[in-house]
Parts: sequence; structure tokens; C-alpha cells
Amino acid sequence: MLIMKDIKMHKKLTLLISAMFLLFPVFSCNQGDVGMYYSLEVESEVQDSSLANDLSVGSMVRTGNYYYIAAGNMLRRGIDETDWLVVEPPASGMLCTEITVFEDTLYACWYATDGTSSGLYTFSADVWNAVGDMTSQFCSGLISLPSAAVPTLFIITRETNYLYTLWYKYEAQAPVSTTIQYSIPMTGAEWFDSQYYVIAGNRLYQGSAADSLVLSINTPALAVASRYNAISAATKPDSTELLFLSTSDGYIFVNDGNGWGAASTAVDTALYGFSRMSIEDTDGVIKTNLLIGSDSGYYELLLITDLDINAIALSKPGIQSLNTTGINYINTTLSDGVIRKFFYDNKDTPDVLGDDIVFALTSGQGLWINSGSIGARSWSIE
Amino acid sequence: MRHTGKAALLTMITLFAFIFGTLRIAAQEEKAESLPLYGLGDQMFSINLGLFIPLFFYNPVAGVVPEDRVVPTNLSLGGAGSLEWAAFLSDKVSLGAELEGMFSISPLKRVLLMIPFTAKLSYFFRAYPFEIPIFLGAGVNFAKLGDELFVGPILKPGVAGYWNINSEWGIGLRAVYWWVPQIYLRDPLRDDTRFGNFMEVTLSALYHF
Repeated sequence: MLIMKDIKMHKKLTLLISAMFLLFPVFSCNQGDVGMYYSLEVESEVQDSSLANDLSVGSMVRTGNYYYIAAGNMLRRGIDETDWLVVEPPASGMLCTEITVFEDTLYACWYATDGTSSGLYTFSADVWNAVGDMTSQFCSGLISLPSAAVPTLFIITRETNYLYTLWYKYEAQAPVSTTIQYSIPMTGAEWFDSQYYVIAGNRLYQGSAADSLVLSINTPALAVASRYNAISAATKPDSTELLFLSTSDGYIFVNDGNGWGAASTAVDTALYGFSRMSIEDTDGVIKTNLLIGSDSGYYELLLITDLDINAIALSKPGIQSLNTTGINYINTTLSDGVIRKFFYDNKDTPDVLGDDIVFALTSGQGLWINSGSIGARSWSIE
Repeated sequence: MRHTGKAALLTMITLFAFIFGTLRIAAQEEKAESLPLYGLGDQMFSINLGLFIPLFFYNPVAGVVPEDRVVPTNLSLGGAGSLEWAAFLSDKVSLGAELEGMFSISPLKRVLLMIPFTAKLSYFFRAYPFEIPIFLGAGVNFAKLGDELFVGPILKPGVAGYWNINSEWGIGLRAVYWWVPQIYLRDPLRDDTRFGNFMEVTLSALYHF
């Protein structure tokens, strides 16, 4: 009887242990974009300066020794300082939505808090001056193209019927209205291959002069209901210039001067603005990565000489062997933040590769800065 | 004088009986101690609570230079607790199961949670009233960090020391090494394969039944 009991006990134990080892997998997977341990290994505390961390930043510029941001208020800080200070608006209670620098002058779109009035202003010696010809317009956007054959400032205004109009301004000239109007605002412009390119929703305008832009007949294929979100030129190591276009359905298109390449491999989020960033490879060679903002952090594309514009594939930071930051990005809230734009500052040393600063302008998650010595770049929040 | 002799004899008999009795009892106790304390079917239950010490990650990826293979975890000192049941297969060997949980915090205040479920084989050394089991646990580990979940294997070798308060209860201290590999076989995560190395030091209460 006792022996029988022992055998039963042995059987129970054997069954229990066998069941447990059936649960013993060699490995399993339900992972994110990076390994869990790796993400901990590279994690570090994020430096946080004085700016609110839930800020939505519309645009950013540098003029002189100051950085400026449009974030409802306009704020500025010295390039070597940490504290951001509010710049008094042209009139009490006005909100700043867009800023840019054109011909060394700061331009800003200011709105009345109730949205009933708006204006374009210049800022010089801490004094605001209304741009006379734009006082009756609702200023919706500003795009400066200093590298154009004739440096140009594009101004986007909104009519009361919610049509957006494109204006241009050359130096020492009042803004001029173009014939381009659309129900979607112009969100980007670039000078590339002796041509202006301007995007507005699903439209791409092109022309050699700012006053003679027309709808481009050679446009990248765009899916129904998707939009062009941002446009930017960048240079490969062999000095070849490329034009990049991002879309709301996660594609990148690249133009090498001979036409647009095939759509990139899509990512599962909308793509927005661009920035370059210097990086150092394992051999100590400095290279340039292109950053592309998205609704969930940013993507990267290494600008190599033999980049195939028909086979563009984006990577997330921390994945490819050569990335902009393996230090802390993947663990910051920036990695799943909405990044609409970047601001790139070469710190007045354009010939010193790697001595650059990149700001990421987010919607609701503050202003982030990537700096530090090359090879050890990291993100911190302003 | 005769009376005195009788008394002396009685005293000697009593003394002899006392000494003999004492020796006999001692012998019985000795015999009892040499008998197995536990046998097949005896069971025990323990509850453990204490500290979780992140040690290091080991990077086994090919091409990594030796000095870069051991990397810090960046995790804080954490906590661990477990419930364990086991049954004796013999006087010195038990087999059981353990459900454990731990937490630790990263520099960005992310919480790493791991819940291993292991089968556990123990071997007991004894010096009454002390017991020193050495053991090895193996099983499945559920690791969670933010939105990520990784299910993988775990090995937990360890040693404990117990003082048996009575025949049912013992209290002691456990030191358990956690070896928790996270192996990725697909690109681009292949290079993120790491072996986690941790240490748990817990107070333990053990109940025999």
C-alpha cells in the first residue's frame, strides 16, 4: 500500500515537472524596435533645462547669438545659455505661430488670442515692426530660402474662406501675392536644381522663379488621401544634391535632378520634416545622416555616395550599426513623440564636421536638443 | 553499620539506574537524529522577500571585443519576492516549483518587471538545527519593460541557510543568481542579444508539512 502511494507521488511530481519544462522556451519574441536589455544598457538620465516639457514648438530659428522658438509665446535664449525668456509680443495677448529668418531679420506670424486678427512682423533691436503690406492678412506660415538664386521668403496667408495663398518676398521688396491658392496650406518649400519646389497637401508646385510657379507635371505617385508633408534638399558625400519629400502615409521620395525615384519602403507612421546630423562610424570617419521626423520619433537615412533613390529604406535610431544616437534616444519620450520639424545649427563652423546641434520640435513634448561630442551624441530636453 | 551498607547499596543502584537511563535516552536521541528527517511525500512551502541586485549584462554577439562584453545594466537596486512549494524525493533531495517576481528601476524611471516560473531541484546539507540547501531552478521568465514583453528562459542557481525553530518552521537567508538570457534570432535585433545577470538576496520562512 505504501509502495503504491510512493509510485503515485512520483508520477504526480514527474507530471508537474514535465509540464513546467514544456513551458520552457529557448526564446520568445514580443519585442519593440530594440532589445530590452540593450535599451537599458544605453539608457541615461536626460538633462532638462528651463523650458516646459509639454510645449508644442511650431518653428525655431537662430539669429545672432540667440535661438528663438514659436510656441504660443515667442521665447529666446542665448546660444550658450540655458534659460529661455519670453519675448514680449507686438501687442498684449498675441500668440506666435511661425518664425523664420530672412536676410538676417527675424520674421514672425502673430495672432490675436481670439483669432480675429493676425499680422506679419519683423523683430529688430527688440522692437516689433508690422510688415505694412501684410497687416490685413492672416499669417499662416513662413518659409525662408536663403540658398535660392535670389534669396526668397515665402509667406502663406489664410483667407476668410479658408483658402491659403502663397506670397513671396525678395530682399528690399514688399511681399507679392502669387496666383497659387489652395484649401490646404503650403507646408514646405525648397530650392533645388535651379528650381523652386513648394508643397501644399497633395500638390507640388515648381518653377524657376518665385512668381511663376506651376503645378509640377512630374510628381511622385501619391496614394489617395495622402499628402506631401515636408520637402528638403541634402547633399551626399560626393557633393551631389538630392531633394527629399516626405508623405503622410510614411513614404520618402528622392529626386536626384533627373527625376523622382521609387517610393521608399513605407513606415507605419506619417513622416514630416528633415535635418542632417553628423555622425562618426566605427573607423572614425564622419558621415551625415538624414533625420526624418514622424508621429513616433524620427527615422534615419545614411547619406552615402551610392545611395539608390529607387531603394530607400529608413531605419530607426539604435537599430542600424551606424546611427545618430545609440546613447539614450530610444528610452526618451522623444522616441514616441510627434516630431514635425528639426532645426539644425552648425554653430558657425560649417567646415568642422560633427560640431553641430540638432533640435527636434515636437507637438506637446517639448523641445529636444542633440549635442555633445561626435561619437557620443545624446538627446536632452530644453 | 549494616544499615549504612544497605543505604550505600541502594544509592549505588539508584545512581547506576540514573546513569544507565540517561545514557539510554541519549543513545535513543542519537539514534533518532541519525534517522532521516524527511522522506518521499514530505512537503514544504516557503515565502521569500528581499533585495534584487542587478549585476551586469553579457554581450555574446560575435565581433564584440572582450572588454566590451560585460556592460552595466543601469538598473537600480530592486526588490524580489517569491512563493515556493516543494516535495521531498528523499531525505536530502526535493523537487518543487517557484513563482517569483522582481522589480528594478532604470535612470528614466522605467520599471523592469520579471516574473519567472521555475522548476527547482534542491539538495540539503544538514547540521541540526541548521539546513543548507543548494538548488537550481529552471523555467520560463516573463520580462516587461514599458510596453515590451519578452518571454524567455531563466536559470536560477542558489544557496540558502535555514535555522529550524521547530519541526515545522524554519527561517533563513537565500542568495540566488538569476541568469536570464534574451536571445534575438532575427535582424535587426540580433545584435541586441544579451545575457542578464542578477542576484537576489532574500529572507525566507520555510514551513514543513
